[in-house]
Amino acid sequence: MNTIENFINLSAVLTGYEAIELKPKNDTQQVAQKYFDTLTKNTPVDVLNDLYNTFLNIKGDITDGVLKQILQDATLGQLARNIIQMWYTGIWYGLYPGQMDYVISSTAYTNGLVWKEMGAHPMGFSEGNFGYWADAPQMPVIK
Amino acid sequence: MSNSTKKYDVVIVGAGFAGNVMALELAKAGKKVLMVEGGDPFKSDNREVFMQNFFLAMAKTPESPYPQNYNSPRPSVLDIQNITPNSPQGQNGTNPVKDIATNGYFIEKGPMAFGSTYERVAGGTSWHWLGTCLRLLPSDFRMKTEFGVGVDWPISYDDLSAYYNKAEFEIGVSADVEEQNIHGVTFTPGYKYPMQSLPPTVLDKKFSEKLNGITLDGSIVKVTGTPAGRNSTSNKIDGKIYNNGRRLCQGNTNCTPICPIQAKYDATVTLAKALNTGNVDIMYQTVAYNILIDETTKKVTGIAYKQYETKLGPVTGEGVVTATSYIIAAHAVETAKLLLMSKNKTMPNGIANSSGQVGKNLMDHPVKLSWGLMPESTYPFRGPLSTSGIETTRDGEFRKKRAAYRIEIGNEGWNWTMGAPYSTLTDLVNKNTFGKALRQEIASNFTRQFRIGFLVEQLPGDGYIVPSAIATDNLGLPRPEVHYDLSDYTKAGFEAAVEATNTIFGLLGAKESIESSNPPASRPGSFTYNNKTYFSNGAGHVMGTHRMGATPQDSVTDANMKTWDHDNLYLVGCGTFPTTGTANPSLTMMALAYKATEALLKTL
Repeated sequence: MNTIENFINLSAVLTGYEAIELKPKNDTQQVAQKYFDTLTKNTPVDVLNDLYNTFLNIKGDITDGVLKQILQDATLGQLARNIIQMWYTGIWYGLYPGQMDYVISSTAYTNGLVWKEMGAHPMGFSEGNFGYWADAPQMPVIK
Repeated sequence: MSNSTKKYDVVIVGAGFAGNVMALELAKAGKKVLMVEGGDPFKSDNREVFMQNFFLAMAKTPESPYPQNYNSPRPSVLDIQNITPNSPQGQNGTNPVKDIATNGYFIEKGPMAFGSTYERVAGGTSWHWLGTCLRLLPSDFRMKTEFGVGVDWPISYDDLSAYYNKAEFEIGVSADVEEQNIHGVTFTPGYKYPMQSLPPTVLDKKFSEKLNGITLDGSIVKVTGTPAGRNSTSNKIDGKIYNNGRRLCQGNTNCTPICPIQAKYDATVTLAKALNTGNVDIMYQTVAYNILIDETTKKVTGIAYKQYETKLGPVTGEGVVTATSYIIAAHAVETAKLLLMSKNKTMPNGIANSSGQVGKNLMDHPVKLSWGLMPESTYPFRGPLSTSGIETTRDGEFRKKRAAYRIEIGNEGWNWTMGAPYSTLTDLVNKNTFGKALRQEIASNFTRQFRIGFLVEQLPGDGYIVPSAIATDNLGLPRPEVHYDLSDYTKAGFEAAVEATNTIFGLLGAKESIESSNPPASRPGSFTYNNKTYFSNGAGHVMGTHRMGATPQDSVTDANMKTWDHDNLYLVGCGTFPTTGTANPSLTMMALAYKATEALLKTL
């Protein structure tokens, strides 16, 4: 049930990315694995099982099902929102008693999706050349 | 480490902007220099470690890359609080406190919260300066004469011009002379900045297109490239391509808190050069706490220090460093604190303080931020944090009545103002925006975020610092007690900044954020003026606490930054400034350090 495949497939619906983009075949940075481990470590196992069960049993439109049965669910919604934020910023927001907000790792930070979506780069981690900022960026294509 | 047997010409306290320039210049002239630095040793892997700290910090504040050091502590923007009798900082003041992990370093006494911070490490606050290298305007040196407010400096723009050239060369400033000669700023004939102006961002160009030629605050607006202490395309200087050996700016959008590749100048550049001369020794983890004087001659005879080995560890050594002359370059707050701590029988009010001006005139450039959404994408979070600004508003007859400001155009969206993109992302996700809709929202809305900042001038007399009588740091040394306020002169500058915001946003077709136009009254930094609430941010430009002047009665040092009271003691840093003007102060601080060095060398 709590497998990285299920995690990636759910993450794809939540983030708007293809599963293969979230976990490329050669994921040398191991970002997906790191997020999977973070979620597993920080979430009670029965809640995780509930999350994946719900996800796997969605009938019909997957986007609509994820919205109604997961995001709008009192328990699963916050967890799903946490998964989105984890992918987009590399942060785990403390959800259960005793948990703090924290940046998962520097690799998680530099892989935050939000920066790419703005045509930008993580602050402090530019891959551009001198003067790139003079022109509008190539924006990601949302299929 | 013992330096007791070696003879030095000069002792310098503090290895930041000003101290390092003086160390290098003195060493080049063959003088033997001993530096005393409170922070940890400067090492080649500092930046890598600091970057890791930054990546992993939840709050990416100016301080976030740099660990707090309880033996050489510094303030943090996370510690700024409202000042009430029951606030934690007020309570700190009633007990000697050793561990300052929770309540901050400053003992804030108000009435306004002080929003500016600094670093106590080798390289000083230059680690997280923005890199702005504007010169002061000629009128900034003559506020009393021109406008009947504040005081005049004992020097003019022309007196400083050649030293600006030197500072700009050492930093490696990228700028365009043609753009910078406004409001009477002149340059040496044929002068070129070491490097060309940085390319403007998409947002900068939009500002130019919509605002150039309008009249604002009595001047015709021209959006100009901001002189930057970061590497751009080199110019030929005296027949040679300028080359400072550092990398080209890659637009990491992270100048504050840390440039990952040192394309931005910081004072460790000059420190490394100084240490390489072989004429400079440095004692790290060494905190100066008492300036000793000869009661008869009033000359400084030594500076007492305490040493430590770990950030929370005990005092591991004590001693006195000696030389022919002494320079205190420890930051406006720490320099004033050290002078006031060093009181003795003949100097009951502290060293260099016969005028009573030490620690007084605490000033900043309180910042009014205005932010909103552009009508189309202008792509923030790209390029250096700021590349252009409006400097035409910095001078005018209005300065008789209210403060001037410069307008900085930010390239980091709502990052400083609202904590974007984190905050704005959380808002979206909390509305259950997800999947492709989330991506589309980010692409169309986050890319329209922008902000401007008005850096408002202050006049002397608004605030002061003293060493706390009761609260100490881990070494047992007093912590700074900060009394800060804004006068109506400065508040009226904020009022004008709101009017200017309306004009600018109107012309841009931009929509101001509700949090920008209606700041909450309860935040530390909020104030009310003419029945309207304003919010002021610290700029980190701490000035005025040991000002220079024309007479010993109303100033701490002369125009060469030599103290009036002690023939062999110099004070450098932004504490020297009699008034603030509106230019970010580091370039002027460095130019002044060159001036002080020249004067000091004549006496050695």
